[in-house]
Parts: sequence; structure tokens; C-alpha cells
Amino acid sequence: MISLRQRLQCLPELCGGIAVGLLLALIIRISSGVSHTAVILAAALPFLLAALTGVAKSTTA
Amino acid sequence: MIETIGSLVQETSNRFRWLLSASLYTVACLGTAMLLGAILSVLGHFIRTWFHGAAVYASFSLAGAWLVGLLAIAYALSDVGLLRLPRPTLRQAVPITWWRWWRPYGAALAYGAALGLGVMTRIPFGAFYVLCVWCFLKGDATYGALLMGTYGALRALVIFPASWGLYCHRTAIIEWLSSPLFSQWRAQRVLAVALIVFGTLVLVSAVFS
Repeated sequence: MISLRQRLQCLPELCGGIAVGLLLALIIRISSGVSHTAVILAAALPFLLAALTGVAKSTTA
Repeated sequence: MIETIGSLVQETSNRFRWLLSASLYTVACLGTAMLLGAILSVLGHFIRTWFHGAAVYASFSLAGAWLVGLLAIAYALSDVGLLRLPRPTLRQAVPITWWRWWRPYGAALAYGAALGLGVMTRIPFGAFYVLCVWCFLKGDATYGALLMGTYGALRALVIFPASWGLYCHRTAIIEWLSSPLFSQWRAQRVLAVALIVFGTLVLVSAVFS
């Protein structure tokens, strides 16, 4: 059972995730597609999510 | 999961039968995952086509992006236990009886096909639902098949090292799979961060579009 304290300890990680998402969106917006790395990273993000979900479901659930 | 399925698809008597079982499992898992992605995308495409020409069409993508972004953030919070959200599934687990009835090849195919669909076991990772909605929103069957295919492929390919490990070093592998490295809580935290990055990106893109 995960305690409330453990759950709340995740908040900084989640805030970090929001900051990374914002930064990525900002880079893409400012560079207007010039920064290929950011665009590729944004396009690859759903695939990364899919890969992580697949591995996580097999190895843990 | 891998401890169960790994033992089920391994064929202890013969390496060829093990390889065939594991391959059938992989192909079935990949196939149904790709099919799921393609079907969701085709459904999304039909709805887009239905709205085509109407005034609401322009707002469809925007509303969809808002929905996916908010859903991703909500499920990230749900994954770490800060929010309670529904996690619909068809079953809680795949039945063990399939192994008794159809082993080894039929069972490998059946388990692969069922697990590739994703909704035949409980789903502790909200990213699965977000990916399904994303496929629906994209409305591109190829994209949907590739995206869910990535999920299915990674889910299935883990079976090779895991079941081979169970075959050769059973106790050591079971101990290793029970280690904190494979803790569900840890995986949920990692996926929650990835999900929140994705959600924020989609939301911000929708706000500034």
C-alpha cells in the first residue's frame, strides 16, 4: 500500500515533468520548426510513452 | 505478469518449441495491438469525416487536443495515487485455463492476442488510455497501428529474455524480477512523469494554436 507521504513525494517529479513539457513546447514555438531535435522529440514522445507502457505492463503488472 | 506469461509460453522440453511459442505470442500480441490502434484511428477518422464541412469541424482537433492534454495530466496524477479515475477493462486477468486447453501454441497465440489488446488485464498505467484517445484523435490508421504496435512489440518482446531466463536460471530470474527495479510503484512514477510531459506539450500546443 502506498502511503500519502509517498504519493506527495511524487509532486516535485510531476512539477518537473510540467516544466519539461512547457520548455519543449516553448522551444518548438519559438524556433517555428527550425529546431529539428525538439520537433522530433515531440513527435517521438507518444512512441516513447507507448514503449514505456508496454515494457512496464509486461514486467510489473 | 512476465513471471506468469514467461512460464506459460516457455516449452521446457525443446528449444525449437520454446522459440515457436514465444514467436507466436509476439506475433499475436503485435497483431492485436496494431489492430486496436488502427480501429481506434479509423473510428476517429469517420467522426472527422462526419463533421467535415460543419462549423464544428475546426474545433474538433482543438477540443481533442485539450481532452488528451487534460486526460494525460489527470491520469498521471491518478497513477501516483493523487486522484481516483476509472480504469475500464474487460477482464482482471487472462484465464489460466487457456494454457490447459490449448498449450503450447494455441495458448501462446491466445495469450498474445489477449494481452496485445491491453484491456484483458487490469491496467495500472493510465498512459494506455491516453494512447488510445490519441490514436482516435489522430484519425490516421497507419499512425495508430504504428503507435499501438510499439506498445504491443515492447510488451511482447520482453518475453524472450524473461522466459529464456526462467528456462535457464529460474530462481535467480524470479528473484531479479521481484527486485525493486521491477516495482509497479516505480514504473507508475516514471510513466506519470512521461505522461505529464506529453500532456503539458499537447495542452500548450493547443493553447497557442
